[in-house]
Amino acid sequence: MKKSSVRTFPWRGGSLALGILAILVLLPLLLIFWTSISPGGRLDIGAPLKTIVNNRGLLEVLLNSLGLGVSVIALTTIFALPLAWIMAKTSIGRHRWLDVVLLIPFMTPPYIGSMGWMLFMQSGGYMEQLLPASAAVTPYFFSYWGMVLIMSLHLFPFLYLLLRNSLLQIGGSLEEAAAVHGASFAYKSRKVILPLLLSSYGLGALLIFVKTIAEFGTPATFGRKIGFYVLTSEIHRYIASWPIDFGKATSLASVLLGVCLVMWYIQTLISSRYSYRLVGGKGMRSKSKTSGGLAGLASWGYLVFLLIASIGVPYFSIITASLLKLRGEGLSWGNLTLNHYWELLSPGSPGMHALINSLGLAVAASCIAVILGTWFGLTIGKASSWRQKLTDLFSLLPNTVPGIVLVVGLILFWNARWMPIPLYNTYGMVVLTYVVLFLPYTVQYVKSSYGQLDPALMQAGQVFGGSRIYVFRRILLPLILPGMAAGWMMTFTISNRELVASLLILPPSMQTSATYIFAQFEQGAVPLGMAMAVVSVGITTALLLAIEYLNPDRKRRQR
Amino acid sequence: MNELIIRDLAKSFGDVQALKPANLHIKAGSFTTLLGPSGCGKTTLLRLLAGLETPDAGEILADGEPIYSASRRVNLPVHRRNFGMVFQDFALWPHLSVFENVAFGLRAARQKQDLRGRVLEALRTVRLDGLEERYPHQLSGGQQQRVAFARAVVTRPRLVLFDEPLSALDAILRDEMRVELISLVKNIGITALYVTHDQSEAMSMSDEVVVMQGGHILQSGSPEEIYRTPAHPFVARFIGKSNWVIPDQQMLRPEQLRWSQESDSNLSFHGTIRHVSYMGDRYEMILDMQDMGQWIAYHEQRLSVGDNVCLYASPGQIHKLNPSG
Repeated sequence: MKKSSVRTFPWRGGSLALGILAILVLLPLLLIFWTSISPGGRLDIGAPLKTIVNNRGLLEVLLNSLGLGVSVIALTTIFALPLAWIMAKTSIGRHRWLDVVLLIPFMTPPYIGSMGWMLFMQSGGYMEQLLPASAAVTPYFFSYWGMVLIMSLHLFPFLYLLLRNSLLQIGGSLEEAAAVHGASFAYKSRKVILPLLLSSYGLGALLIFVKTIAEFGTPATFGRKIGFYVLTSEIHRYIASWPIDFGKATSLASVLLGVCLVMWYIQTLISSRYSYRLVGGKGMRSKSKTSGGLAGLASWGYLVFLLIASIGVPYFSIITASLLKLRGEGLSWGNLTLNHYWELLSPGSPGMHALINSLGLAVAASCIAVILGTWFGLTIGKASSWRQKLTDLFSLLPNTVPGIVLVVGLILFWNARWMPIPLYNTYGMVVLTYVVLFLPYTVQYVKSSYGQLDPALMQAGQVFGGSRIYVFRRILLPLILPGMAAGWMMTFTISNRELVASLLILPPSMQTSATYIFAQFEQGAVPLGMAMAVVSVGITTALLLAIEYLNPDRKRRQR
Repeated sequence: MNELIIRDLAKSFGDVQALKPANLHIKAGSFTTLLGPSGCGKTTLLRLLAGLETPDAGEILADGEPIYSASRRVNLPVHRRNFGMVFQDFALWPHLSVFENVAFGLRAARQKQDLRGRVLEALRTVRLDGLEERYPHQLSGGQQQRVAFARAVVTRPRLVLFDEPLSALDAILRDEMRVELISLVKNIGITALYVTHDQSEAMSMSDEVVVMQGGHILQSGSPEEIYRTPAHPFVARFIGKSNWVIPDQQMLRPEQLRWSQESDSNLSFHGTIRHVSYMGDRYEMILDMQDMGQWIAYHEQRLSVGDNVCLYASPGQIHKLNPSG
């Protein structure tokens, strides 16, 4: 069956696809390792670790990153676990719109979320204006735990979705069977629910850890303000500001990459060994208790608290900051104006330049990413041969590897002295970086669209006289089109808001909306920066909502 | 337990009355089957008994003691009802071994005495000795079914509930398991309440069949009673094949028809053969009986389509349904 489907559509050029991926993704990453283990021309596998251990500052940075990861796991758990329980086990879970709302924090670029919180809590910020007595507490926010809080509020929806889905799956007959056979609530939770939940929690926690140590936005804004430095922010510093030190940057990048790869390896081990197929037949009826009274009130209270903290506060601050006429006069209706938007969007302004630049880059990157991603996705097919598996692995690597690491690799590769193609420091380099970073989305979407197609559909096309190209055009292409569209929009959206790649790769004198926001926030033209944040998040959020409707996985997820 | 009595038990989901007030009497050691098409309320009744749903009204009494009573405000939680249950999808816990799956009920009730012996005994009964260290995903469908059975009976519950347990198996395995299940139930001597939509399962396994439709209990009785003297046209049509002399009032079964007159008192019926199917052991004929609609009759030889035939039956064999039913 599989064989015949492969034969029906022999994606020749499989080797070519693999070759392109090797150049785009693999070589840059290898180059990081190479640079870090050959300091001064001598080969030393342990060099990156030595560089870090022998330098107290760098060692502290490494430990900071690891500690931050653990703390964020703890706090996201505190946020996500009760929420998952509420949404899976009570009637509140019937409000499907909450699931979309709960994705907003995750869709908000972390640097924008951090800026919102900083504006809210800083001295003289909105918190103190709304509640003057809070001035006694707000200084404590600018600390390690404030940073953990901001990052957890960004990442918790991810853990929540994982936990809720597995609670829903456990919820059917497995739980009922425990009750019928004499288990009380406590016993049932301890012996059945928790062990089954543990494997998906383990996976979620590892992913949270990886995402935390790979994140750049919050360390670059909040972390810099409180003087808390982590791997990503230090890699950025050694590459972007004087004195530039590629040795240290690649050492840190190698270690960051290594940690992430180990985490991913552990994750695959867990998911292959300790995860259970929980999808039952008809037993999936999950009972939801109607939550009235005190329990219902507490559940709603918790939900509202989370929504205010993760969406309300940052968006309130950003929108308010973009509307304030005079910062000194504080919150009052008379002090609101739309002037910053007019200034930002007036033709020829730097803001408008940055915005158009961003949109242009994003369109170019997403068009190329869709073509490449579709090709790779179809090449991978059902990943039956080793070549297809390798293509699969390489094309998903940019999702596994922290963005900043890949960007460093791309710089090393395209800026190398022996590189004949003069792409570095051009517009094309930015597009290429975005394409490489966000390729996995299209590959994933196309792969899953294609995987759901019965090969008989294409075989039937050929039986009824269609040539290979005709079958591709009339049958395959229309069927995978939703996947391609989703990939295009996803790439467009994230390229539009991408910060770290833009900061490191953009040619001098060029700005995107992300770097514009970053620069304005640093240099004090906060209202302009925040107006840009509102515009850019507005555009991309609208698109992300559209993806929700086109995602080929949607139907399966709603089972 | 000597008997389980269900009195006026009712349940609605929103506007849908899934179970209209139902009365039922289950004797200890009996095998009772709730039979009906999907949506008839049989699964609802089972889940009400187990405590997985809460009834709106009525009573469930075990030996006179209320398990649930709307008027007396008694509602024993699920885990204190001391029932066993075999789920449709088996619901074996994937993270526990076969041994721990079966031991679950004993551990939950803190019955630690001779726990190992009792679990192994239960596994031996279902012929799974030696597999106690396996995990559910390492077992075949039939083996999983037997683990689910062992788990349901190991605590010696007062009643074991079966929620369409054979429907997840393929046809051949289903026939095997049906025979095995009924012999296990009889050997151990448990009281069983079995839910199915398959009439042949119900007829072959049960001491008592309860036919349900649209949330109503239409009739309960032994399989023979249900088949020979259906109380309701739906029961007559749902179980076996029915030939109607007067629609919804008088019927007889195909095997009661004779092809020759055996006594003067016999009634005669005239019809035309419309269709002949060979069933291996006999030919099944569909006849056009004019006013009486279509009938089914059996013959040991092939007859030709279009033949006009005469069929006979003694008046006593015609079953008259309760006209009010």
